[in-house]
Parts: sequence; C-alpha cells; structure tokens
Amino acid sequence: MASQVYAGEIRISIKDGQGQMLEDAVVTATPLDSKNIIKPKNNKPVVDQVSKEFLPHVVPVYINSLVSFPNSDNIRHHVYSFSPAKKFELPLYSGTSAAPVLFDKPGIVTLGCNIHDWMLGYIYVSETPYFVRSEKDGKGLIRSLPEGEYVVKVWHPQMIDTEDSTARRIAISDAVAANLEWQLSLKPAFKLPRNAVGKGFGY
Amino acid sequence: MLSKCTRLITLSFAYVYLSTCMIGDASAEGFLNLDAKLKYDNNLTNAEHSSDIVGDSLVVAAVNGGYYIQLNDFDSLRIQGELSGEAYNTFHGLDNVSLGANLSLKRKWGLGLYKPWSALSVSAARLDYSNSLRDGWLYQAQISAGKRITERWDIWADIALQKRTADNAPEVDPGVSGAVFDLINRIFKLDAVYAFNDKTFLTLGYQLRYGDVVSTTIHESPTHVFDLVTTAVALDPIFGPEAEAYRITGTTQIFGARISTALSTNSVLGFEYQRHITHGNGNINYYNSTPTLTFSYGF
Repeated sequence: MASQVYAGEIRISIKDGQGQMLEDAVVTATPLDSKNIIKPKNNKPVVDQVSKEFLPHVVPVYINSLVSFPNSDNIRHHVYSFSPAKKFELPLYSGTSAAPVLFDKPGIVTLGCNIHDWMLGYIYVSETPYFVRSEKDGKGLIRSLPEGEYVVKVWHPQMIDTEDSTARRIAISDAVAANLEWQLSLKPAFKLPRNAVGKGFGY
Repeated sequence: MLSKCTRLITLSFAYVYLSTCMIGDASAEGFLNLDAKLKYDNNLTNAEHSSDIVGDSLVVAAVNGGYYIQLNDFDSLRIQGELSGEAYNTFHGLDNVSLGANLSLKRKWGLGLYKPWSALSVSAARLDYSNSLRDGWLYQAQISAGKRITERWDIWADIALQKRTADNAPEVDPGVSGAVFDLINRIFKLDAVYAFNDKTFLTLGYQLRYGDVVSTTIHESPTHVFDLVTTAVALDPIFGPEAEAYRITGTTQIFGARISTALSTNSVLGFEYQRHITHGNGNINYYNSTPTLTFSYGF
C-alpha cells in the first residue's frame, strides 16, 4: 500500500468588490492527479436550524456524504430542495428525527423551509475532499494536501462571475503553504423579508 | 369608560393565559406584536359638504398575540387576540377600545416558495366607545388567496363579509331605524408587496366595499336628500348638538400605498397613505384622505 505524502496547505483570503472580507465563499482544490484524492474519514456534515435560519448558511460537503439536518428550534421545520444536484424533502419534523440525506451528485443544492419562506441555505457538493468555507474574516485553510498540482476555484451564492472564471492552477510541494486571494464581484444581497409585522393594511 | 377598559384588559390577559395553557407543544409558535400609529383623517364625518367635514388626528395603540400552529405539512392554524385603543385629539367621543379574536386556517398548495396559498378566517371584536352610539360588535368572515410572484413581489386577495351590530339604536324619526351602526359590507381587497431589499417594502392596496356607510351632517341638510335614501338615522352628539348620522348604501373604493422599513429584526417603521372614495345612494359622494405613521414591534 503506497503511503501518501501530505505536503502542504492553502491559505485563502476572499474579498468582495468593495474590498470587504467575505464570508461563506467555498474554495475547492481539485488535484490534477486523481490518485491524490483521499476519502475523508469521520465525515459527518451537519446543517442545523437555529432561530429559523439554516446554520451554517453555506456548507461544503464531499460527494456521497450523508448530511444531517437537526432542528434545534422548538418549532417544526419542513426542509426541501428543488436543485438538480439533489431534490429532496424532509416533511415536518422537530429535533433530530429526520434521517440523514445522501448527496451523491456534485453541484449547488439550495435549501428552503416550506413553513418559513425566508429560510435559505446552500450545500456545495464537491468532487474533491479538499475544500474550505471562508469565515467572517474572509479567510480559510485547506490542510493536508498531497503533493501535486491542483486547480483551485471559488464559489459564493452571490457571485456574478462563474466559478470556472476563478480557477487558478497551483503546485503544492513539500511543507509549503500557498496563499491565494480573490476579489469577487457580487450581486446585491437579497433575502426574503423575515419580519411580517405590519405587512397588510389595517382597513 | 375606565371600567370598560379594565374589563377588556382583564379579558385579554385571561385569553392569553388560557391559550398558553391549551397549547404548548413544539407544533405551536407563539407571537406577540405591538403596533402604534399616528393618523389623520380629513373627513371623520364622511360628509359631502364642506360645512359638515371635520378632520382630526388620532393615536392608535394595539397589542396582538396568539399562536401559529402547523397542523401538518401544508395546513396551519392561527389563533390571535387583539386589544387596541384609539384616542382622538379633538373628538374624544370617538375614543375607543376594542378586544377581538381571529381564527384563521391556511393551506399552502404545495412545496416551495412560489406555491399559492389560501386561507379562511373568522373574527369577532367588541367595540367600546366613549360615546355609546358606536358601541357594538364587529364580525368578519374572510376568504384569502395569495402567491409569491417573484422573489420580490408578493400578492394576495381577500373577499370578506363584515357585519357590525350596534348596542344602541335610539329612534329619532318615527318609523326610521335608529340602528345607524348596524352595518353589513361585502369587501374585496387586493394587496401587493414589493421588497426593495430584505428591510424596505412598498405595499400597494386596493379595496372595494359595497354595503352600508355612515355619513354625519353637522348642520341640518338643506336638501333633505338623506331623508330619501337613508336606512337609519341617529343623533350624533360627538360632532355637535344638531349632528345626525345617516346610514346609506354605498360603494367605497380605497387606494393605499405604504413604504415601510425594518429598523431591526423586530421593528418596522412605516408611512402609509389611503384615499377613500365613496359613492352613496342619492348621489351622496364623499372622500377621505388618511396619512398614517406606523410603528410595529414583534417579540
């Protein structure tokens, strides 16, 4: 059995068009040599529902992952997706009663709740196990990359350009940390109003 | 008036307490909202002639709360109680307190953001005024349907039957009913909301009401046109010693627009303007304009 050499890591930094650090961008590093794809262990991604929001808002997962959807609210949710990468529905439930969902196609899965229309979340199903989601400070770290060449791309729910347009080719070699930065042009953020107070006319 | 208010407040607390005892599992979601309004009505008397037209400003305060219960994947029930009060700047006889309850059953016809919904609701409210002429009950049955058209546009329509009963019906003219505030109206409403972003909305509304309207003359009508078309008449001392309120049949169209913006996740500030155009029997036409500043807080 050939031993894998874990050589390096990629430090990423994502900014929006105004130069502000950007959260919830997914950066993937796809090795050109498929032998460098090592299936992750103890991979149990979770999309929680807290205060009637999906948490985290964006969750990258490796293809064929089983994702759990616990409901931490004290009310019931009805989670669904119509996305081609995964169509599914978790009928009304509370707590942890919903069975995990298998995400077996790569792509973007948009999540909604049929009870609370403003709830919006994304699962990025990646063909590579090497990915990271940018934190509030716009930064992230992809660790334990085997030595080799990679194509690194960025995706964000609001990005105007395509994911492919962000592609960069990078060589990872022994004990070297690569630093990569992107500045993304974004569509204006729009989220369905959560506050229905005063919605109608009081005729 | 104060004892009436005390009774109403006691009743509202009892309602909230009983509701809390009855519903407490994970399927029920409680809500509580406070509303405050500063409003001006330029034609309180619903009068046609300038000599009869009076305007006044008023402050409205309301608290509503209840439970939203998801019955199954697509059906929900909303139980709501509301206590509200209006205080007028000049015409204190119109000051009032109301306590009401609303029950609404809603169905969403499928899965997803853009699926239509429909709802059936019934409500009842007790109306208590400083001047007892307007005291009574207000009942309404309503069918509603709506649909989100795009991410930013949401529309809905309502058809309602509204009945108001008056406690007092002092007869002024022999043979003519004094129950001026016994009213029945059929209502059609259409509303659309455009979200500029997740905080700022524009609401456009249209309402068509057909049924009974009440118009008050402060001075005796020289044409006596009301005598020919009125279905009820009563003295209306709020507006003066000679003032008389007439119930006539009419059609009212209401055009409204409101801009509102969320100040926080809990509060919304808004400004709305409504124009009421009423055509009554006997060619009695009158108009109202009501600008309103609104503030809502949801817990």
